[in-house]
Amino acid sequence: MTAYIYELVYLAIFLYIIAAIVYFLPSKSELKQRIALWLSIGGLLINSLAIIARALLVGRLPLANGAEFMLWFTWFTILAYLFYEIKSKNKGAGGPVNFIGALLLASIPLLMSRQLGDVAPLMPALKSPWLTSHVLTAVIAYGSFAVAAGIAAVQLIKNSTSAEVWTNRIVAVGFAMMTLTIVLGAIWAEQAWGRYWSWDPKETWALITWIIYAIYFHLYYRRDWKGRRANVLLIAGFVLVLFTFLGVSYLLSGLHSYA
Amino acid sequence: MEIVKKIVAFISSMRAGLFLLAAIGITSAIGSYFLPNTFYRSPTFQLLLVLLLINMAFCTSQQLLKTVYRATNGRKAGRPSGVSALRRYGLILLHAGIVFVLIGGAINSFNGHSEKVPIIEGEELEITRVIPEAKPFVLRVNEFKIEFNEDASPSQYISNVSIIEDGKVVRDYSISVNNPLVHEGIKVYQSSFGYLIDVETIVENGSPERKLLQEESIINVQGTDKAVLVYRYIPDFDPARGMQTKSYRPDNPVIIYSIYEKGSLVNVGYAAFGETVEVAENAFVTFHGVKPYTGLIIKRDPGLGVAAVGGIMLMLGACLALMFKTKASEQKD
Repeated sequence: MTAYIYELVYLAIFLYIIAAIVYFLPSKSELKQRIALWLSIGGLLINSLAIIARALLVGRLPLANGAEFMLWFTWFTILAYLFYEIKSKNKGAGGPVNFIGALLLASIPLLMSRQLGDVAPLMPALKSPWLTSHVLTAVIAYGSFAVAAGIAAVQLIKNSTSAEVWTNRIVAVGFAMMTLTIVLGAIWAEQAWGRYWSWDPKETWALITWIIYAIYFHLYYRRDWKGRRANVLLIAGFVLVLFTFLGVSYLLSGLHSYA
Repeated sequence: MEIVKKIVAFISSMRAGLFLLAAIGITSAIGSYFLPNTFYRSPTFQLLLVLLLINMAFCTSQQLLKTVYRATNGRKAGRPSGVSALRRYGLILLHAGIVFVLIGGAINSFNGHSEKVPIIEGEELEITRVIPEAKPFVLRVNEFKIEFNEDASPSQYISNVSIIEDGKVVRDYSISVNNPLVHEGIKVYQSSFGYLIDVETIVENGSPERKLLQEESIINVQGTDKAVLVYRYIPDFDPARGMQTKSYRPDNPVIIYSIYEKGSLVNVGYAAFGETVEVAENAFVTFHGVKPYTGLIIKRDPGLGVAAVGGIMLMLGACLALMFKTKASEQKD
Protein backbone atom coordinates (compact mmCIF):
# COMPACT_ATOMS: atom_id res chain seq x y z
CA MET A 1 0.00 0.00 0.00
CA THR A 2 2.89 2.38 0.77
CA ALA A 3 3.87 2.30 -2.92
CA TYR A 4 0.50 3.80 -3.83
CA ILE A 5 0.51 6.69 -1.37
CA TYR A 6 0.49 9.33 -4.13
CA GLU A 7 -2.35 7.55 -5.95
CA LEU A 8 -4.34 7.40 -2.70
CA VAL A 9 -3.93 11.15 -2.24
CA TYR A 10 -5.01 11.85 -5.83
CA LEU A 11 -8.01 9.54 -5.46
CA ALA A 12 -9.10 11.24 -2.24
CA ILE A 13 -8.80 14.68 -3.89
CA PHE A 14 -10.88 13.38 -6.81
CA LEU A 15 -13.61 11.98 -4.55
CA TYR A 16 -13.80 15.19 -2.49
CA ILE A 17 -14.13 17.26 -5.69
CA ILE A 18 -16.88 15.02 -7.07
CA ALA A 19 -18.63 15.09 -3.69
CA ALA A 20 -18.43 18.90 -3.70
CA ILE A 21 -19.88 19.07 -7.23
CA VAL A 22 -22.77 16.78 -6.33
CA TYR A 23 -23.44 18.78 -3.15
CA PHE A 24 -23.45 21.97 -5.25
CA LEU A 25 -26.08 20.60 -7.72
CA PRO A 26 -29.31 22.58 -7.38
CA SER A 27 -31.51 19.47 -7.03
CA LYS A 28 -32.98 18.94 -3.58
CA SER A 29 -33.64 15.22 -4.05
CA GLU A 30 -32.87 12.75 -1.30
CA LEU A 31 -30.88 10.62 -3.78
CA LYS A 32 -28.51 13.47 -4.62
CA GLN A 33 -27.85 14.09 -0.94
CA ARG A 34 -27.13 10.41 -0.39
CA ILE A 35 -24.72 10.17 -3.32
CA ALA A 36 -22.89 13.29 -2.15
CA LEU A 37 -22.66 11.97 1.40
CA TRP A 38 -21.29 8.59 0.26
CA LEU A 39 -18.76 10.20 -2.09
CA SER A 40 -17.54 12.25 0.84
CA ILE A 41 -17.36 9.15 3.06
CA GLY A 42 -15.45 7.38 0.25
CA GLY A 43 -12.97 10.26 0.11
CA LEU A 44 -12.57 10.08 3.87
CA LEU A 45 -11.84 6.32 3.72
CA ILE A 46 -9.19 6.79 1.00
CA ASN A 47 -7.79 9.72 3.01
CA SER A 48 -7.56 7.36 6.03
CA LEU A 49 -5.74 4.77 3.90
CA ALA A 50 -3.24 7.46 2.83
CA ILE A 51 -2.56 8.25 6.50
CA ILE A 52 -2.08 4.54 7.25
CA ALA A 53 0.22 4.18 4.22
CA ARG A 54 2.30 7.12 5.43
CA ALA A 55 2.45 5.60 8.94
CA LEU A 56 3.64 2.27 7.50
CA LEU A 57 6.20 4.08 5.34
CA VAL A 58 7.84 5.94 8.22
CA GLY A 59 7.07 3.53 11.06
CA ARG A 60 5.64 6.16 13.40
CA LEU A 61 2.52 8.25 13.84
CA PRO A 62 2.84 10.60 10.84
CA LEU A 63 2.56 14.00 12.53
CA ALA A 64 5.85 15.68 11.69
CA ASN A 65 6.13 17.27 8.26
CA GLY A 66 3.74 19.52 6.33
CA ALA A 67 2.33 16.80 4.08
CA GLU A 68 1.61 14.55 7.07
CA PHE A 69 -0.18 17.41 8.82
CA MET A 70 -2.19 18.16 5.69
CA LEU A 71 -3.40 14.52 5.45
CA TRP A 72 -4.74 14.76 9.01
CA PHE A 73 -6.05 18.31 8.62
CA THR A 74 -8.19 17.28 5.61
CA TRP A 75 -9.21 14.01 7.25
CA PHE A 76 -10.48 15.74 10.38
CA THR A 77 -12.20 18.53 8.42
CA ILE A 78 -14.28 16.01 6.44
CA LEU A 79 -14.90 13.80 9.48
CA ALA A 80 -16.11 16.78 11.53
CA TYR A 81 -18.33 17.92 8.66
CA LEU A 82 -19.93 14.49 8.23
CA PHE A 83 -20.55 14.38 11.96
CA TYR A 84 -22.18 17.81 11.72
CA GLU A 85 -24.31 16.89 8.69
CA ILE A 86 -25.64 13.70 10.27
CA LYS A 87 -26.17 15.27 13.68
CA SER A 88 -27.68 18.60 12.59
CA LYS A 89 -29.45 17.32 9.46
CA ASN A 90 -28.27 20.52 7.75
CA LYS A 91 -26.80 19.62 4.38
CA GLY A 92 -26.05 22.97 2.82
CA ALA A 93 -22.36 23.23 3.65
CA GLY A 94 -21.25 19.94 2.04
CA GLY A 95 -20.17 21.67 -1.16
CA PRO A 96 -17.82 24.27 0.32
CA VAL A 97 -16.40 21.93 2.98
CA ASN A 98 -15.60 19.14 0.50
CA PHE A 99 -14.16 21.74 -1.83
CA ILE A 100 -11.96 23.08 1.00
CA GLY A 101 -10.94 19.45 1.73
CA ALA A 102 -9.95 18.89 -1.90
CA LEU A 103 -7.96 22.13 -2.00
CA LEU A 104 -6.18 21.35 1.27
CA LEU A 105 -5.22 17.88 0.07
CA ALA A 106 -4.21 19.23 -3.35
CA SER A 107 -1.63 21.42 -1.62
CA ILE A 108 0.38 18.22 -0.97
CA PRO A 109 1.22 17.48 -4.64
CA LEU A 110 1.33 21.22 -5.42
CA LEU A 111 3.54 22.47 -2.60
CA MET A 112 5.10 19.57 -0.71
CA SER A 113 5.14 16.63 -3.07
CA ARG A 114 8.56 15.39 -1.98
CA GLN A 115 7.50 15.24 1.68
CA LEU A 116 4.94 12.52 1.05
CA GLY A 117 7.60 9.97 0.08
CA ASP A 118 10.30 11.31 2.38
CA VAL A 119 11.47 8.59 4.80
CA ALA A 120 14.25 10.55 6.53
CA PRO A 121 14.24 10.05 10.31
CA LEU A 122 12.99 12.83 12.58
CA MET A 123 15.38 15.67 13.33
CA PRO A 124 16.45 15.95 16.98
CA ALA A 125 14.19 18.94 17.78
CA LEU A 126 11.10 16.89 16.85
CA LYS A 127 12.01 13.93 19.04
CA SER A 128 9.74 14.80 21.91
CA PRO A 129 6.68 13.33 23.59
CA TRP A 130 5.03 16.75 23.10
CA LEU A 131 4.93 16.33 19.31
CA THR A 132 1.81 14.12 19.25
CA SER A 133 -0.37 16.25 21.53
CA HIS A 134 0.77 19.56 20.03
CA VAL A 135 0.05 18.47 16.45
CA LEU A 136 -3.15 16.48 17.09
CA THR A 137 -4.76 19.40 18.94
CA ALA A 138 -3.75 21.64 16.01
CA VAL A 139 -5.42 19.19 13.60
CA ILE A 140 -8.68 19.33 15.56
CA ALA A 141 -8.49 23.14 15.88
CA TYR A 142 -7.78 23.80 12.20
CA GLY A 143 -10.32 21.21 11.03
CA SER A 144 -13.06 22.73 13.21
CA PHE A 145 -12.27 26.22 11.89
CA ALA A 146 -12.45 24.88 8.31
CA VAL A 147 -15.91 23.39 8.85
CA ALA A 148 -17.14 26.55 10.59
CA ALA A 149 -15.88 28.66 7.67
CA GLY A 150 -17.65 26.38 5.15
CA ILE A 151 -20.94 26.65 7.02
CA ALA A 152 -20.44 30.41 7.48
CA ALA A 153 -19.90 30.84 3.71
CA VAL A 154 -23.19 29.09 2.93
CA GLN A 155 -25.00 31.13 5.58
CA LEU A 156 -23.63 34.32 4.06
CA ILE A 157 -24.74 33.40 0.55
CA LYS A 158 -28.18 32.29 1.71
CA ASN A 159 -28.40 35.29 4.03
CA SER A 160 -29.51 32.95 6.78
CA THR A 161 -28.59 32.42 10.43
CA SER A 162 -30.21 29.02 10.93
CA ALA A 163 -26.89 27.24 11.56
CA GLU A 164 -25.42 29.96 13.75
CA VAL A 165 -25.66 28.01 16.97
CA TRP A 166 -23.87 25.12 15.28
CA THR A 167 -21.01 27.22 13.93
CA ASN A 168 -20.61 28.75 17.37
CA ARG A 169 -20.40 25.29 18.90
CA ILE A 170 -17.89 24.06 16.29
CA VAL A 171 -15.73 27.16 16.69
CA ALA A 172 -15.79 26.60 20.47
CA VAL A 173 -14.20 23.17 19.92
CA GLY A 174 -11.64 24.73 17.57
CA PHE A 175 -10.86 27.55 19.98
CA ALA A 176 -10.36 25.26 22.98
CA MET A 177 -8.09 23.01 20.89
CA MET A 178 -6.18 26.02 19.53
CA THR A 179 -5.60 27.14 23.14
CA LEU A 180 -4.20 23.67 23.92
CA THR A 181 -2.05 23.69 20.76
CA ILE A 182 -0.47 27.00 21.71
CA VAL A 183 0.14 26.12 25.37
CA LEU A 184 1.43 22.60 24.59
CA GLY A 185 3.68 24.14 21.94
CA ALA A 186 4.96 26.66 24.49
CA ILE A 187 5.75 23.88 26.99
CA TRP A 188 7.60 22.00 24.26
CA ALA A 189 9.45 25.13 23.08
CA GLU A 190 10.62 25.70 26.64
CA GLN A 191 12.13 22.20 26.61
CA ALA A 192 13.62 22.33 23.13
CA TRP A 193 14.58 25.94 22.45
CA GLY A 194 14.89 27.30 25.97
CA ARG A 195 12.04 29.81 25.53
CA TYR A 196 8.33 29.20 25.76
CA TRP A 197 7.57 32.12 23.50
CA SER A 198 10.00 33.54 20.91
CA TRP A 199 7.66 35.54 18.64
CA ASP A 200 8.62 33.09 15.92
CA PRO A 201 6.35 33.77 12.87
CA LYS A 202 4.40 30.52 13.40
CA GLU A 203 3.80 31.41 17.06
CA THR A 204 2.86 34.98 16.20
CA TRP A 205 0.37 33.96 13.51
CA ALA A 206 -1.11 31.21 15.68
CA LEU A 207 -1.69 33.89 18.33
CA ILE A 208 -3.26 36.23 15.74
CA THR A 209 -5.59 33.38 14.69
CA TRP A 210 -6.46 32.73 18.33
CA ILE A 211 -7.14 36.46 18.86
CA ILE A 212 -9.59 36.72 15.95
CA TYR A 213 -11.65 33.81 17.32
CA ALA A 214 -11.45 35.30 20.84
CA ILE A 215 -12.87 38.53 19.41
CA TYR A 216 -15.58 36.53 17.62
CA PHE A 217 -16.74 34.96 20.93
CA HIS A 218 -16.86 38.24 22.79
CA LEU A 219 -18.85 39.95 20.05
CA TYR A 220 -21.11 36.91 19.67
CA TYR A 221 -22.02 36.71 23.33
CA ARG A 222 -22.54 40.46 23.55
CA ARG A 223 -24.95 39.90 20.64
CA ASP A 224 -23.22 42.75 18.83
CA TRP A 225 -21.94 40.74 15.94
CA LYS A 226 -24.23 37.90 15.12
CA GLY A 227 -25.43 36.90 11.69
CA ARG A 228 -23.57 38.29 8.69
CA ARG A 229 -20.72 39.96 10.51
CA ALA A 230 -20.03 36.90 12.64
CA ASN A 231 -19.92 34.76 9.50
CA VAL A 232 -17.48 37.15 7.84
CA LEU A 233 -15.30 36.93 10.95
CA LEU A 234 -15.33 33.11 10.77
CA ILE A 235 -14.24 33.14 7.13
CA ALA A 236 -11.52 35.70 7.92
CA GLY A 237 -10.43 33.45 10.80
CA PHE A 238 -10.02 30.50 8.47
CA VAL A 239 -7.99 32.60 6.03
CA LEU A 240 -5.69 33.34 8.99
CA VAL A 241 -5.53 29.60 9.78
CA LEU A 242 -4.40 28.92 6.22
CA PHE A 243 -1.86 31.71 6.40
CA THR A 244 -0.54 30.42 9.74
CA PHE A 245 -0.08 26.97 8.26
CA LEU A 246 0.95 27.61 4.65
CA GLY A 247 1.81 31.31 4.38
CA VAL A 248 4.17 31.35 7.33
CA SER A 249 5.94 28.18 6.14
CA TYR A 250 6.43 29.43 2.60
CA LEU A 251 6.72 33.21 3.04
CA LEU A 252 8.32 33.85 6.43
CA SER A 253 11.26 31.95 7.88
CA GLY A 254 11.52 30.91 11.49
CA LEU A 255 12.06 28.16 13.99
CA HIS A 256 9.15 26.06 12.69
CA SER A 257 10.93 25.11 9.44
CA TYR A 258 10.31 21.39 9.32
CA ALA A 259 8.71 21.25 5.90
CA MET B 1 -13.30 60.45 42.37
CA GLU B 2 -15.79 60.18 39.55
CA ILE B 3 -13.00 60.52 36.98
CA VAL B 4 -10.96 57.76 38.63
CA LYS B 5 -14.01 55.54 38.59
CA LYS B 6 -14.59 56.26 34.94
CA ILE B 7 -10.98 55.56 34.03
CA VAL B 8 -11.02 52.29 35.95
CA ALA B 9 -14.29 51.37 34.29
CA PHE B 10 -12.84 52.03 30.85
CA ILE B 11 -9.55 50.25 31.48
CA SER B 12 -11.34 47.19 32.81
CA SER B 13 -13.99 47.18 30.09
CA MET B 14 -14.33 44.44 27.53
CA ARG B 15 -14.35 47.05 24.78
CA ALA B 16 -10.85 48.19 25.80
CA GLY B 17 -9.70 44.57 26.07
CA LEU B 18 -10.95 43.70 22.60
CA PHE B 19 -9.37 46.84 21.20
CA LEU B 20 -6.03 45.90 22.79
CA LEU B 21 -6.25 42.32 21.50
CA ALA B 22 -6.96 43.59 18.00
CA ALA B 23 -4.11 46.11 18.25
CA ILE B 24 -1.71 43.38 19.42
CA GLY B 25 -2.84 41.11 16.59
CA ILE B 26 -2.50 43.73 13.87
CA THR B 27 0.82 45.19 15.04
CA SER B 28 2.41 41.78 15.56
CA ALA B 29 1.31 40.73 12.06
CA ILE B 30 3.05 43.78 10.60
CA GLY B 31 6.01 43.31 12.93
CA SER B 32 6.46 39.64 11.98
CA TYR B 33 7.12 40.69 8.40
CA PHE B 34 8.98 43.99 8.63
CA LEU B 35 10.87 43.78 11.93
CA PRO B 36 10.89 40.10 12.91
CA ASN B 37 13.75 40.46 15.40
CA THR B 38 13.24 43.80 17.08
CA PHE B 39 9.56 44.70 16.96
CA TYR B 40 8.45 42.58 19.91
CA ARG B 41 10.99 44.27 22.18
CA SER B 42 9.94 47.78 21.15
CA PRO B 43 8.44 50.03 23.86
CA THR B 44 5.20 50.46 21.85
CA PHE B 45 4.51 46.74 21.70
CA GLN B 46 5.55 46.19 25.32
CA LEU B 47 3.16 48.98 26.32
CA LEU B 48 0.29 47.20 24.54
CA LEU B 49 1.09 44.01 26.49
CA VAL B 50 1.22 45.91 29.79
CA LEU B 51 -2.12 47.59 29.03
CA LEU B 52 -3.62 44.20 28.19
CA LEU B 53 -2.30 42.83 31.48
CA ILE B 54 -3.92 45.70 33.42
CA ASN B 55 -7.19 45.36 31.50
CA MET B 56 -7.39 41.59 31.96
CA ALA B 57 -6.37 41.74 35.63
CA PHE B 58 -9.18 44.23 36.36
CA CYS B 59 -11.70 42.44 34.19
CA THR B 60 -10.92 38.99 35.59
CA SER B 61 -10.97 40.06 39.22
CA GLN B 62 -14.35 41.77 38.70
CA GLN B 63 -15.74 38.58 37.18
CA LEU B 64 -14.25 36.55 40.01
CA LEU B 65 -15.82 38.81 42.65
CA LYS B 66 -19.19 38.58 40.92
CA THR B 67 -18.97 34.81 40.81
CA VAL B 68 -17.98 34.56 44.47
CA TYR B 69 -20.86 36.87 45.34
CA ARG B 70 -23.27 34.74 43.34
CA ALA B 71 -21.97 31.56 44.90
CA THR B 72 -22.47 32.91 48.42
CA ASN B 73 -25.85 34.52 47.71
CA GLY B 74 -26.78 32.00 45.05
CA ARG B 75 -30.04 30.74 46.41
CA LYS B 76 -31.41 34.15 47.20
CA ALA B 77 -30.57 35.42 43.71
CA GLY B 78 -32.10 32.33 42.18
CA ARG B 79 -29.08 31.77 39.91
CA PRO B 80 -28.66 28.57 37.96
CA SER B 81 -25.89 26.39 39.29
CA GLY B 82 -24.22 23.18 38.16
CA VAL B 83 -23.21 23.07 34.52
CA SER B 84 -23.36 26.78 33.80
CA ALA B 85 -21.42 27.51 37.00
CA LEU B 86 -18.63 25.16 35.87
CA ARG B 87 -18.54 26.87 32.51
CA ARG B 88 -18.25 30.19 34.31
CA TYR B 89 -15.31 28.93 36.39
CA GLY B 90 -13.71 27.68 33.17
CA LEU B 91 -13.99 31.10 31.55
CA ILE B 92 -12.58 32.84 34.62
CA LEU B 93 -9.71 30.34 34.70
CA LEU B 94 -9.06 31.00 31.01
CA HIS B 95 -8.87 34.76 31.56
CA ALA B 96 -6.84 34.46 34.76
CA GLY B 97 -4.43 32.15 32.89
CA ILE B 98 -3.65 34.95 30.43
CA VAL B 99 -3.01 37.32 33.36
CA PHE B 100 -0.56 34.80 34.91
CA VAL B 101 1.25 34.22 31.59
CA LEU B 102 1.65 37.98 31.10
CA ILE B 103 2.93 38.43 34.68
CA GLY B 104 5.37 35.52 34.21
CA GLY B 105 6.63 37.09 31.00
CA ALA B 106 7.03 40.47 32.69
CA ILE B 107 9.04 38.94 35.57
CA ASN B 108 11.29 37.25 33.02
CA SER B 109 11.85 40.41 31.04
CA PHE B 110 12.95 42.27 34.21
CA ASN B 111 14.86 39.56 36.08
CA GLY B 112 15.45 36.75 33.62
CA HIS B 113 18.67 36.05 31.81
CA SER B 114 19.47 33.89 28.82
CA GLU B 115 22.73 33.68 26.94
CA LYS B 116 24.28 31.41 24.34
CA VAL B 117 27.79 30.34 25.34
CA PRO B 118 30.26 28.32 23.26
CA ILE B 119 32.35 25.92 25.36
CA ILE B 120 35.19 23.78 23.99
CA GLU B 121 35.38 20.14 25.01
CA GLY B 122 37.29 19.84 28.27
CA GLU B 123 36.74 23.47 29.27
CA GLU B 124 34.92 24.83 32.29
CA LEU B 125 32.52 27.69 32.77
CA GLU B 126 31.91 29.59 36.00
CA ILE B 127 28.11 29.94 35.89
CA THR B 128 28.11 33.32 37.68
CA ARG B 129 30.12 34.78 34.79
CA VAL B 130 27.01 34.33 32.63
CA ILE B 131 24.30 34.73 35.27
CA PRO B 132 25.53 36.81 38.21
CA GLU B 133 22.44 36.04 40.35
CA ALA B 134 22.98 32.28 40.15
CA LYS B 135 24.15 30.14 43.04
CA PRO B 136 27.78 29.55 42.04
CA PHE B 137 28.82 26.30 40.37
CA VAL B 138 31.16 25.29 37.58
CA LEU B 139 29.97 23.59 34.41
CA ARG B 140 32.55 21.41 32.67
CA VAL B 141 31.93 20.09 29.15
CA ASN B 142 33.52 16.64 29.11
CA GLU B 143 32.45 15.74 25.60
CA PHE B 144 30.36 17.01 22.73
CA LYS B 145 29.15 14.39 20.28
CA ILE B 146 26.69 13.99 17.44
CA GLU B 147 24.85 10.71 17.08
CA PHE B 148 23.83 9.73 13.58
CA ASN B 149 21.04 7.87 11.84
CA GLU B 150 21.86 5.22 9.25
CA ASP B 151 21.50 7.81 6.48
CA ALA B 152 24.16 9.97 8.21
CA SER B 153 21.65 12.65 9.25
CA PRO B 154 22.09 13.78 12.87
CA SER B 155 19.87 11.90 15.30
CA GLN B 156 20.94 13.74 18.45
CA TYR B 157 23.40 16.39 19.67
CA ILE B 158 24.79 15.61 23.11
CA SER B 159 26.94 17.55 25.55
CA ASN B 160 28.19 15.42 28.45
CA VAL B 161 28.78 17.80 31.33
CA SER B 162 29.79 17.71 34.98
CA ILE B 163 28.62 20.10 37.66
CA ILE B 164 31.41 21.05 40.01
CA GLU B 165 30.78 22.63 43.40
CA ASP B 166 33.69 23.54 45.71
CA GLY B 167 36.08 21.63 43.46
CA LYS B 168 34.06 18.40 43.58
CA VAL B 169 31.96 16.84 40.85
CA VAL B 170 28.44 16.68 42.29
CA ARG B 171 26.54 15.60 39.20
CA ASP B 172 27.08 14.31 35.66
CA TYR B 173 24.48 14.96 32.97
CA SER B 174 23.94 14.44 29.26
CA ILE B 175 22.36 17.57 27.80
CA SER B 176 20.65 16.93 24.49
CA VAL B 177 18.00 18.58 22.32
CA ASN B 178 14.66 18.41 24.17
CA ASN B 179 16.50 17.40 27.34
CA PRO B 180 17.97 20.39 29.19
CA LEU B 181 19.95 20.30 32.43
CA VAL B 182 18.14 21.83 35.42
CA HIS B 183 20.32 22.78 38.38
CA GLU B 184 19.68 25.30 41.18
CA GLY B 185 17.18 27.32 39.12
CA ILE B 186 19.46 27.39 36.08
CA LYS B 187 18.55 25.59 32.87
CA VAL B 188 21.15 24.62 30.27
CA TYR B 189 20.06 23.73 26.72
CA GLN B 190 21.82 22.18 23.75
CA SER B 191 21.57 24.87 21.10
CA SER B 192 24.35 24.67 18.50
CA PHE B 193 27.87 23.42 17.89
CA GLY B 194 30.99 24.18 15.90
CA TYR B 195 34.60 23.27 15.46
CA LEU B 196 38.00 24.82 16.13
CA ILE B 197 40.72 23.75 13.71
CA ASP B 198 44.07 22.45 14.96
CA VAL B 199 46.69 24.00 12.62
CA GLU B 200 50.48 23.68 12.60
CA THR B 201 52.85 25.75 10.47
CA ILE B 202 56.43 24.59 9.88
CA VAL B 203 59.12 26.69 8.24
CA GLU B 204 62.72 25.71 7.74
CA ASN B 205 65.02 27.07 10.45
CA GLY B 206 62.03 28.17 12.51
CA SER B 207 60.19 26.48 15.36
CA PRO B 208 56.83 24.90 14.47
CA GLU B 209 53.76 26.87 15.56
CA ARG B 210 50.53 25.12 16.53
CA LYS B 211 47.19 26.86 17.17
CA LEU B 212 43.47 26.20 17.58
CA LEU B 213 41.72 28.50 15.16
CA GLN B 214 38.14 29.39 14.38
CA GLU B 215 36.91 28.91 10.85
CA GLU B 216 37.78 31.79 8.52
CA SER B 217 40.94 32.72 10.48
CA ILE B 218 44.12 33.83 8.76
CA ILE B 219 47.63 32.76 9.73
CA ASN B 220 50.75 34.41 8.40
CA VAL B 221 53.50 31.94 7.57
CA GLN B 222 56.72 33.14 9.27
CA GLY B 223 59.56 34.18 7.06
CA THR B 224 57.45 34.21 3.87
CA ASP B 225 55.03 36.69 2.34
CA LYS B 226 52.33 34.03 2.31
CA ALA B 227 49.23 33.78 4.47
CA VAL B 228 46.79 30.89 4.82
CA LEU B 229 43.06 31.42 5.26
CA VAL B 230 41.75 28.44 7.24
CA TYR B 231 38.34 28.62 5.68
CA ARG B 232 36.10 25.78 6.72
CA TYR B 233 35.89 22.28 8.17
CA ILE B 234 33.90 19.88 5.98
CA PRO B 235 33.08 16.65 7.88
CA ASP B 236 32.05 14.60 4.84
CA PHE B 237 33.72 16.05 1.80
CA ASP B 238 32.60 15.28 -1.73
CA PRO B 239 34.47 17.20 -4.49
CA ALA B 240 31.26 17.30 -6.52
CA ARG B 241 29.47 19.19 -3.72
CA GLY B 242 32.36 21.49 -2.82
CA MET B 243 31.64 23.51 0.31
CA GLN B 244 28.40 21.62 1.00
CA THR B 245 29.14 18.73 3.32
CA LYS B 246 27.45 15.45 2.40
CA SER B 247 26.51 14.93 6.03
CA TYR B 248 27.68 15.89 9.50
CA ARG B 249 29.24 12.47 10.03
CA PRO B 250 33.04 12.74 9.71
CA ASP B 251 33.33 10.14 6.94
CA ASN B 252 35.75 12.19 4.83
CA PRO B 253 36.92 15.14 6.90
CA VAL B 254 38.87 17.88 5.15
CA ILE B 255 39.80 21.49 5.72
CA ILE B 256 39.18 23.97 2.92
CA TYR B 257 41.93 26.58 2.81
CA SER B 258 43.22 29.28 0.51
CA ILE B 259 46.72 30.72 0.18
CA TYR B 260 47.36 34.42 -0.25
CA GLU B 261 50.53 36.15 -1.37
CA LYS B 262 50.81 39.82 -0.38
CA GLY B 263 47.06 39.92 -0.03
CA SER B 264 46.07 38.37 -3.35
CA LEU B 265 44.68 34.90 -3.75
CA VAL B 266 47.03 32.35 -5.30
CA ASN B 267 45.46 29.01 -4.54
CA VAL B 268 42.40 27.31 -3.04
CA GLY B 269 42.56 23.70 -1.90
CA TYR B 270 41.51 21.11 0.61
CA ALA B 271 43.56 18.86 2.85
CA ALA B 272 42.78 15.81 4.92
CA PHE B 273 43.80 15.64 8.59
CA GLY B 274 47.55 15.11 8.95
CA GLU B 275 48.25 15.94 5.32
CA THR B 276 51.09 18.43 4.79
CA VAL B 277 50.49 21.31 2.40
CA GLU B 278 53.42 23.14 0.93
CA VAL B 279 52.65 26.85 1.11
CA ALA B 280 55.98 28.15 -0.14
CA GLU B 281 59.42 26.69 -0.59
CA ASN B 282 60.23 24.98 2.70
CA ALA B 283 57.11 26.30 4.39
CA PHE B 284 54.33 23.88 5.28
CA VAL B 285 50.93 23.79 6.91
CA THR B 286 49.32 20.74 8.50
CA PHE B 287 45.73 20.48 9.77
CA HIS B 288 45.90 17.96 12.59
CA GLY B 289 42.20 17.75 13.26
CA VAL B 290 39.31 19.64 14.81
CA LYS B 291 38.15 20.21 18.34
CA PRO B 292 34.41 20.49 18.77
CA TYR B 293 32.73 23.11 20.89
CA THR B 294 29.16 23.04 22.02
CA GLY B 295 26.82 26.04 21.96
CA LEU B 296 24.79 25.97 25.17
CA ILE B 297 21.98 28.31 26.14
CA ILE B 298 22.24 29.11 29.82
CA LYS B 299 19.03 30.48 31.27
CA ARG B 300 17.45 31.69 34.46
CA ASP B 301 13.76 32.59 34.28
CA PRO B 302 12.28 33.50 37.68
CA GLY B 303 8.88 34.05 36.01
CA LEU B 304 8.68 30.54 34.56
CA GLY B 305 6.68 29.10 37.47
CA VAL B 306 4.03 31.83 37.25
CA ALA B 307 3.81 31.48 33.45
CA ALA B 308 3.53 27.68 33.77
CA VAL B 309 0.64 28.01 36.24
CA GLY B 310 -0.95 30.43 33.74
CA GLY B 311 -0.51 27.91 30.91
CA ILE B 312 -2.16 25.15 32.92
CA MET B 313 -5.04 27.48 33.87
CA LEU B 314 -5.49 28.37 30.19
CA MET B 315 -5.73 24.72 29.15
CA LEU B 316 -7.97 23.73 32.04
CA GLY B 317 -10.20 26.78 31.57
CA ALA B 318 -10.59 26.19 27.83
CA CYS B 319 -11.57 22.54 28.41
CA LEU B 320 -14.03 23.35 31.23
CA ALA B 321 -15.70 26.13 29.23
CA LEU B 322 -16.00 23.80 26.24
CA MET B 323 -17.22 20.70 28.07
CA PHE B 324 -19.94 22.50 29.96
CA LYS B 325 -21.15 24.57 27.05
CA THR B 326 -24.81 23.89 26.37
CA LYS B 327 -25.24 21.69 23.33
CA ALA B 328 -26.12 23.40 20.07
CA SER B 329 -29.20 21.24 19.62
CA GLU B 330 -30.41 22.24 23.09
CA GLN B 331 -29.67 25.92 22.70
CA LYS B 332 -32.57 28.22 22.10
CA ASP B 333 -32.02 31.39 20.22
